[in-house]
Amino acid sequence: MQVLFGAPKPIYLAVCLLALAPMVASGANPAGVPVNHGYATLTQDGSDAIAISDLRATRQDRLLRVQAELNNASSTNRQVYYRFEWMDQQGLAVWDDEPWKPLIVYGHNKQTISVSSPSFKATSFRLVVQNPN
Amino acid sequence: MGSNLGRDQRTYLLAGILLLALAGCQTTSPTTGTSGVSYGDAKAVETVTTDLGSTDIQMISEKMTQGLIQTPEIQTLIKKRQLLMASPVKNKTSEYFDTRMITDTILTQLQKNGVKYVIEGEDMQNQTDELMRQNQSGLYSKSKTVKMGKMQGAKYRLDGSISSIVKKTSDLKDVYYKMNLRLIEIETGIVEWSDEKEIRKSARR
Repeated sequence: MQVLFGAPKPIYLAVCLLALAPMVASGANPAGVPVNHGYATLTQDGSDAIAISDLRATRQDRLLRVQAELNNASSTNRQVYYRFEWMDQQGLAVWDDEPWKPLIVYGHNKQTISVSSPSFKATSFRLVVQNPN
Repeated sequence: MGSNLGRDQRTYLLAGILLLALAGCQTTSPTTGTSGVSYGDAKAVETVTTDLGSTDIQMISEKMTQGLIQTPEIQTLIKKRQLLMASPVKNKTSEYFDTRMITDTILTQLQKNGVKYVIEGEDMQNQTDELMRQNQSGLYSKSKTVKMGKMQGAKYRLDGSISSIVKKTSDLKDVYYKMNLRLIEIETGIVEWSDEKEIRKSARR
């Protein structure tokens, strides 16, 4: 038992921390990985051209501020659609369905979505991105 | 006798089968009509024409609401239970549409966050008509009528306009819309907040 659940050796811990360091430093959060207050989902076409390269969220003045960065790895412009869902601490929706919003991500470029929650009750979010091209 | 009973049984059996067949024809879908009308998603991106559409109205209202609730003026207005009103948004485009759709949506979304607003314009006529009816028609019991002179004035008002630039060639139509909204302190006339939303729509012809 002692061997199986003993304290991790310092060398393994150092390797793990080293691997995590760039992600923590840049604040980068790939799609599907949750941030403090929510997460993002991306429905892809076959090409996998669009990716959520960064996702950040913070609570300020009782409002949730979210910033997501979409990256287009292909050379052609892509039209994507996105919307947010806003929830309270219990995961219940606190706002009506948002409209889908069109967004052009130019080829080999990044596009930032920056929003603030429409309600003071929102404590978490879900960003839904569709890339139907 | 036995052969008669057999015939009766066959009749009942046939009726039972017929009933079951009819029941099977019934649909469980709670719809009626065969005209081909169907319901769609009210939040879907509408790209029927380049004219101002539901998606544009929704995106404009959403951006303005999100901008407004971040302002210290609106947050103070909520805390102190001060009042807001919306003046009619000026339509400077070449299209006809009811700009009240935008301000009504913004006011509704703000109210969900605790903002109180007062009516104006067309609604004001209905309001004064009802006040007059209760106080001057002689039809109502004095103890059950609302009092005149108790209406409250707004501290801030929303005002704005929507403009467009349309460009056409033989095979392309391009429309650029710009909506501007301002939050104005009524007593001083100071513009405390303003924001814009731009939309570009193009169509090949």
